[in-house]
Amino acid sequence: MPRQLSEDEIVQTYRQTIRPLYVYVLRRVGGDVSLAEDLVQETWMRALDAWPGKGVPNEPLAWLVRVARNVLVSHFRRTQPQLVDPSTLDLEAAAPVADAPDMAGVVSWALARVRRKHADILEAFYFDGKSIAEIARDRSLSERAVEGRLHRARAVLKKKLSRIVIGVTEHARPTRTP
Amino acid sequence: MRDQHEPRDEFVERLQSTISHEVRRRNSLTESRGWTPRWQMKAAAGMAALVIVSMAIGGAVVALAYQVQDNERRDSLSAVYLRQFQLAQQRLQLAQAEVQTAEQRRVTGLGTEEAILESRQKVAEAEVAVKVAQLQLEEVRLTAREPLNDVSSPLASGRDFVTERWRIERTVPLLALELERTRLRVAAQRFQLGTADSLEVAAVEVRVSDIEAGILAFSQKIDIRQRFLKGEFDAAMAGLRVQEVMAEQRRKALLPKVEFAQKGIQQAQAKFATGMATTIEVNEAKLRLLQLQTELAMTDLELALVRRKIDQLKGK
Repeated sequence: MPRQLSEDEIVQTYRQTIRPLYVYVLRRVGGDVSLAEDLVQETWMRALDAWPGKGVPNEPLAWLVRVARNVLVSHFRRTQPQLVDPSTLDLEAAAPVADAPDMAGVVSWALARVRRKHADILEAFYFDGKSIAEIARDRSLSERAVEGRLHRARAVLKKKLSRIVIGVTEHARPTRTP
Repeated sequence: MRDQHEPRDEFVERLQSTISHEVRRRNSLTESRGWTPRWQMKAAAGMAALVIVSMAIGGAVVALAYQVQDNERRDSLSAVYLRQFQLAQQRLQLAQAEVQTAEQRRVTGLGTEEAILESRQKVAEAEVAVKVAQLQLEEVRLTAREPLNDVSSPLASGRDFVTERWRIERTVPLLALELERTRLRVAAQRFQLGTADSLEVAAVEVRVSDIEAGILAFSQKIDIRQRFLKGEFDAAMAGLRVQEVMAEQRRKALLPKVEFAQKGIQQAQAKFATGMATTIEVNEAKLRLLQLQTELAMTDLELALVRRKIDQLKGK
């Protein structure tokens, strides 16, 4: 049954989470401020839909980030990115793509179309800028296992990207350890 | 200098204001629901049990379920609004057929020019209804929720559906104004020819004032909405400003009606003096004036209260 939300509690939660949530979304839309603001707002509207029934979660930021991810996936499933120049798309690069709008848009578009297990590891690598060692530590895996998973996830990503980037598979270099 | 990864201050403030407004709005809705009938509580308990069973299926399904729930809500809402859109289109077709009939009757000398104008007005209203229904459908498809029409409603993927709808809706009184001005010209001509009395002309003048006040209120609401989106007003202030505009509109529409009712008393008394009206008719005219004056006093009071709240909010 819907219950009353405490305005003070919601505002306090909002103040505590808005910046990390915004950064999370902004990275995934390649720095497109207007789109990031829309998606953050959409995320919060969903929180206001869900919280009267379930209450404010214990880890509101984690909840918001999870929902923001769904919002991003929904958004990128609805959109079709512009064709990109394959020479600008380097999937083997260690640098995160957060500040390259075209690249981030394309990767987000493809991530919305791959399985969650692949998307998770690719997001950690591309958008959160984590190293193989950090990803391995977070997931309690060996670095070798992470490399293998990243390799397989990249292959899936490339397959998806081949729809919009002509010749991406021919341009991509062999996998290297970042 | 601001870090480029930090959200803009105006965005943070605006969204906070939107969220606060939404929380208050939802809380007031929860309050107004009040007592829940027993069968609803049973249904709620059943639903809760179902939710618990669903949760037991496993956390891994949660993300997928969220997506499915979202899509289901979008689909069911879209179906409802699509039906409304189709109904609006059917009404438009009927209204268009009515214009053709009115024009044919005019050609054969059976219909009047006013009947054609009225049927055209209905077509214009039906066209607006189609456009509004189409916008609602687009908003539902984009957001998977009911369309929002408050002055402080958030943008939907960068689109301001509220202003778009208001601008379209404003065309109805604009067209109605054209029709009433035509009627006013006709009434004035009839008055000059001696086939209509001054009260008939005054009645049309009242309708013109009423519509003009409505058009002005629409424009002011759109202006408040724009100022809210620019961050000049927060949600609370924007809501109060709209209340102020609506109260002003009622006041502007009531003033000529009061004047008209006073003329109505004079005419009824004159008729009574010559034996052409009864005391009942005179008293009815007086009662009408009293009702309008009460309504005006209530509107003045509401306006004063809203303005006081605005001043209090400004003072914070």
